[in-house]
Amino acid sequence: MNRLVRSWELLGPGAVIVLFALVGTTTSDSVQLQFRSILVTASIVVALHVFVGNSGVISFGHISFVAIGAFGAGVATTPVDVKPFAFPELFPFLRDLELSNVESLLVAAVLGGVYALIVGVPLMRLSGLSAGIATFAVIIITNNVFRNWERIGPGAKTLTQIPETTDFAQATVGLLIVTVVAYGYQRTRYARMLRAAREDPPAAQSSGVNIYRQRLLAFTLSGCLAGFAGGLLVHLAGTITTEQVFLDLTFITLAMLVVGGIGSLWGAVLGALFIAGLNSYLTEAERGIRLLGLDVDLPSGTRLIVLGAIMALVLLLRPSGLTGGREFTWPFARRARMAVGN
Amino acid sequence: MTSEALLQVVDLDVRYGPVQAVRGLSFELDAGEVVGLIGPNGAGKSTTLLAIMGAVPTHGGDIRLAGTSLVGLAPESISRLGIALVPEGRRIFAEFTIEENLRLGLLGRRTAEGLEDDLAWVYSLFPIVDEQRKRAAGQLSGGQQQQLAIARALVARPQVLLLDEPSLGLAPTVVDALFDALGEIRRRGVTILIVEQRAQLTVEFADRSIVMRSGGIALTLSGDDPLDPAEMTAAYFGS
Amino acid sequence: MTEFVQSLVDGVALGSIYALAALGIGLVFGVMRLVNFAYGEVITAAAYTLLLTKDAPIGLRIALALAVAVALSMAMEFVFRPLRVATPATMLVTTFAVSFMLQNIAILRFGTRGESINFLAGLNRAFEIGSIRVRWITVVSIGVGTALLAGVGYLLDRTDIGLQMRAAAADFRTARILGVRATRVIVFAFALSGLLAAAIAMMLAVQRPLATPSFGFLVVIPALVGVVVGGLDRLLPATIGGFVVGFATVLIGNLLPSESRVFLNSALFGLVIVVLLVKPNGLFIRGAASVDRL
Repeated sequence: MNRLVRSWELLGPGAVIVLFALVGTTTSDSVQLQFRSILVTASIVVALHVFVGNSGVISFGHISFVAIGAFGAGVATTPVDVKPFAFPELFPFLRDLELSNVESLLVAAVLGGVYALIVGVPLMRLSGLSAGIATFAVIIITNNVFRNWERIGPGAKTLTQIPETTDFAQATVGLLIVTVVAYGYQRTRYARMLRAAREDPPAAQSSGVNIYRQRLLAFTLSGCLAGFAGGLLVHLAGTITTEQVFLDLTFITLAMLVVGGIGSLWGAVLGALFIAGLNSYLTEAERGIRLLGLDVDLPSGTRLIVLGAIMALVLLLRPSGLTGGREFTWPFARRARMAVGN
Repeated sequence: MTSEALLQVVDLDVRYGPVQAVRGLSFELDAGEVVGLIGPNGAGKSTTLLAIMGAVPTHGGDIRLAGTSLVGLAPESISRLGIALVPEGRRIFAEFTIEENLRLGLLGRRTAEGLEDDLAWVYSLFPIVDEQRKRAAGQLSGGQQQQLAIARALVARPQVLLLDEPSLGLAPTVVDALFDALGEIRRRGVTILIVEQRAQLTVEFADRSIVMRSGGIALTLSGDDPLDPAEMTAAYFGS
Repeated sequence: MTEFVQSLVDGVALGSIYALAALGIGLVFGVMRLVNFAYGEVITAAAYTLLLTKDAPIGLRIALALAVAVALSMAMEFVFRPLRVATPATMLVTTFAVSFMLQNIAILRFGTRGESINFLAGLNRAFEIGSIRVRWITVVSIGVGTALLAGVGYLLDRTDIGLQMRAAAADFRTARILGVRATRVIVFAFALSGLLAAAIAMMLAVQRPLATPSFGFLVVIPALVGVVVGGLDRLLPATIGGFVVGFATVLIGNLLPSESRVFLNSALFGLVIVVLLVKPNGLFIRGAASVDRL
């Protein structure tokens, strides 16, 4: 496949993201928050894809890295004079810390990456359902600790007073950065080795692929990106709770990935935008909107039911997801390929 | 009116993803006949048996038992129509007792009539199945497991018995005893389709032998035909 | 010392209940290689049925709870049929999606605050053996749990349908070739697990009298952990795994100093990770994941 065709695998999703953001800027203020939230959620899903898509191992614990990034960045950017009231129990060095927005995002990424590395060292030996259970254990433990150890986290309270710096520019650029990094990684031979291991582990191993090492690399990078996304998340509405980064988010991001189609970057982006878009639309429908000339007013709570039902349906009818695991291809690309005589 | 063959395979196509395992395969078995399917690895022999049994989906053609089409039926239904498969590698339930293995074989049986007689016959063929009823099947030797696998198929009183490489991994004397038993089964009137690696043995035993290669028929031999090495090589590996 | 014995007794009681849940999960996994995350919702449905029949005679309440659980379970079997040929990832997420959906239906209908079920509340009374207080429900849980486990064991070992189920679990394709009816066996497994779910709901309803949307989910997650740790592929180890998790939950909970008790889940799941790393035996000897550990 020639370079031009290949580049569409990244440009396609990138263009869709930018288009989505542009459409978002034209909407009303309250809907804009939805759009920005979708972009941030998509960042989490793409981060998840870096590991799950390439290794084929389902991780139920990735939101732990989003959490640590979110809380880390949140604590770091809360103004120093507010901190003693918001977090009376904090460790002193955290209490006196105040970082700029960008610095906090970098910190979030580093925290996510380090935590992922620590978790990954023991866990990357596992596959299949054992890996699923083990990573699930990680999110349970992470949530349990953040919820109850008030020296480092918010506990049961809501973190507030965080600067709301994730505007459209940041949300879009953030997602684009995550997407570019994800694409850059999946084109490396490390990712290729990992994908080979996904398809046929014994064959890959006998070809010299160190499955453990490749998984650990992907996991750490993925955790780093997830932490970064967590940093974006916490600055979205300026508040965060431990419940926000627990099982609901775990489920939704995984479902977005699977509905989009595991193994494909485009699938991650598409799944996220589609499901998140649907989610937001249904949220608005719960408040009462006009749809195609009809008044739609769903009882509150049906949103999640409809979402769950749609996800289940897509998976039952088209198990390989919307993209079938394939990357973005532009129709013109086929002509280009034929012209070059590929 | 011509009598129809008992088992008919007509223009069969079977694919595994992009790989065509069987293409346009056609052959017939008359009632009471013994037909062998031989050929190199990957020729589609096992696939043919699995397709007849409904264990793999077909992508074209038909398979008929006494005129009834089997395509699209579930294996458990086909077993109840009177076909029994002794799978490759025997696939007995190692953790179950011999008796339990046999009980599972009974599921494909269409009538309770004559059960006693059938069991007596099977026990006479393979005494070990009667003597060691409560023993875990996994403790049997390879040859004994093969006997159990065949016994399990026979208790269903099938019209057609399919055997997938019964001699695999067995010592020559054991194989001889096995084929003696198969001779008894043939004398009883059971129609047999046997896939085998041991070409000579099969050609001598069967009424007819079909050499398969690359999913199709390369050569058909009758039991009386002398084995011509050149002909066989050509059939197996292509001229 | 008496506290320790008390913990042991309570541990056995909770262990019995979790063992039933593990069995319910294991039965379906055995015949279909499907981990049904939505199993918890079958338990929850039974609990809500008990709630809605608060004023009915006890026999009717039990019968309805059983009927609802079995019906819902069989409905799930039908819905999950396309999953028979899906990848493990798709299976996990789909059953998770259905679980999610059902939990939210419960939230919609009943809200998140619990409502008191008031089922056989008298069983919460205790009697004394020496210096140990034992609640009747503890005895009943152990008794019923043991009886059900024995009953299912008998069914699997001595009956024809049990033989067919074991065969399907051991080698699905060969079982079908011999004549085991795939659908019948799978439906039966789901129905049986529904029955167990109702029993679990009833025993828990006595001691956790609030019906909440996460009623069953809170049982299934630890039970699932127990199943995987015990040995997903084989029913007896899976059931023992469930028992161990229930038992350990009570014991660890009572051993931890009270300030640390909030970290019980962390301790438990930390233990799970250690077990998975150290002793993957009993996990997927054969089955979907060909290489479960490098």
